[in-house]
Amino acid sequence: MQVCPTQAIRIRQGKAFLLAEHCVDCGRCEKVCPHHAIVPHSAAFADLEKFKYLVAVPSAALFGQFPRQYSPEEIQQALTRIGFHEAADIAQACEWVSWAIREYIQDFSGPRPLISSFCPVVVRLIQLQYPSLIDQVIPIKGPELVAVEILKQARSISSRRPSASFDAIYITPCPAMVPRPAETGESASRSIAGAVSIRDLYNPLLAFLSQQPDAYRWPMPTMGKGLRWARPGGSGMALREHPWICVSGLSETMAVLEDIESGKLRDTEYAECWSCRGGCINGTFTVENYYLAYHKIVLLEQRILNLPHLNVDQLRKYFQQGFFTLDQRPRPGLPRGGESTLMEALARRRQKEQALAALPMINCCICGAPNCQCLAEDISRGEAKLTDCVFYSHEKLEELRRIYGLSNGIPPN
Amino acid sequence: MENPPGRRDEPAAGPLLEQSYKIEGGNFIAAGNAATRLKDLLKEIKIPADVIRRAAICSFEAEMNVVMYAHRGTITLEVYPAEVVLRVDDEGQGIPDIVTAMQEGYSTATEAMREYGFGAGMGLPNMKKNSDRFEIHSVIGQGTHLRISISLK
Repeated sequence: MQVCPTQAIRIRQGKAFLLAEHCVDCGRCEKVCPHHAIVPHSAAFADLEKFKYLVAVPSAALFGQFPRQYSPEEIQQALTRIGFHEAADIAQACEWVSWAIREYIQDFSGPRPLISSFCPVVVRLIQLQYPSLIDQVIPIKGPELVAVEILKQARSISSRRPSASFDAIYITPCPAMVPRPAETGESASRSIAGAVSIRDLYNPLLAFLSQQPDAYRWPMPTMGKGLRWARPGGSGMALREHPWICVSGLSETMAVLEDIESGKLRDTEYAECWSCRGGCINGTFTVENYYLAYHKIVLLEQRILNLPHLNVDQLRKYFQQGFFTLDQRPRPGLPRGGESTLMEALARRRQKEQALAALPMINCCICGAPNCQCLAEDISRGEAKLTDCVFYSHEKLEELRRIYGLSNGIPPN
Repeated sequence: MENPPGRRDEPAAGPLLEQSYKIEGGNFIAAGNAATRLKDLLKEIKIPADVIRRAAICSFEAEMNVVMYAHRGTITLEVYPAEVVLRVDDEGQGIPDIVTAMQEGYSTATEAMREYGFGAGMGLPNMKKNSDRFEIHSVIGQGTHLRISISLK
């Protein structure tokens, strides 16, 4: 409960309960739960059989997960042997998106800095807690969506399979990239049919890779420096002379967003923000030690020094056609308890102040809220009462003893 | 803080909410704290995002000016049904020539202040730009008073 950076968890009647309006899908709670009782949604690998033609869209983070002798190209090939019909070139999509970011920043005339939209946790955080920054979020598709667009384009050009449809499955480093079942209509990633975690594919991929005789070693690297997106600083790689910053970690990101709101960073052009400290290679669904994975990504992005240049004229044409533009701009999230008038909000604040004045402020959490502030907030919303605080009610202690099955003593932590 | 009952129809009643924050002159480490707390309060009472954005910029600039040029000061938030008002009162050197000080790029910041990244001469013009009504009074050797109003439409 206390690990939640947005105070979204409450314990009621001995069970954890989530305030959906506060949750940003960061996955911190899942990482620390000692009973592994928090299970994020992601399609099991076996569920994928229902799709006809499967295209794997791997996160760049996937390529840092395996022992160093396995190249990204071999991992791509392995994907096509464990059930996918094709694997998209995420490195190319990453490079394109980096180019599009630069283009968007150069054209944009509003307040700075612009904020990256590629970590869904960060976007949700801004929607819920920093709605005044919503127009600074770059409405450009992430590499996984652009990879799908590239595939679609290739199919429409190819005369052999003009209308061949496919289902794109994202191979995700974190639960936040999985479309929420309840939001299928709203989700920005509708062109992605589903998501499987890196963790679920790790064993089958490794089994296939290790069976390969050395003669099968991939001759030429085809995936370029776009793989840098797996680590912090990847998305801004095209920015060169523009001043920009990169921040990773949710509390670090929140501190930067506060500063952006105050106008402190207005001379910065771009802020790349990631919820996980260390970027996507440190996502909840990754397997490899973070530092090793980071090192491998650094080696991989340096493999090809002379990359074929991006076809800028072509990209600019795509850009103007809306190829990179998100179908839906992020919008401010609904506040907890729905919209309220200024008068209602002020009345609630008065109630909260009253409750706060009465609470002990030692943040013991026994009431089931992560601190006294949150309990006061819950009281002002009518979702809790002052007697939930053990300092006010002996009955609360009795209730806890009953729930946790204790005959005496204090409840466990 | 509350409207007394029975006086609802009378105009010019007190603010619905009033909250003051102290600012310490010369303390660049704590600079920005008052503006951040003020902003958090505005978020808590669900003021529209655009108003928060403008109020956050104004209060931060105002706080920086107090930190840079005054001995001490307060920033007071007043919320009315139709507007949000920031009042900034400081005890300090005052502004000799307000017309010049309101020009973009004009700054009397010292080298030391600029090393902290402040003093670009954008403070007052930026506050004016982000407010609907901006009043400034200054007495040399005593201090400066700002009243920044942002309309809630």
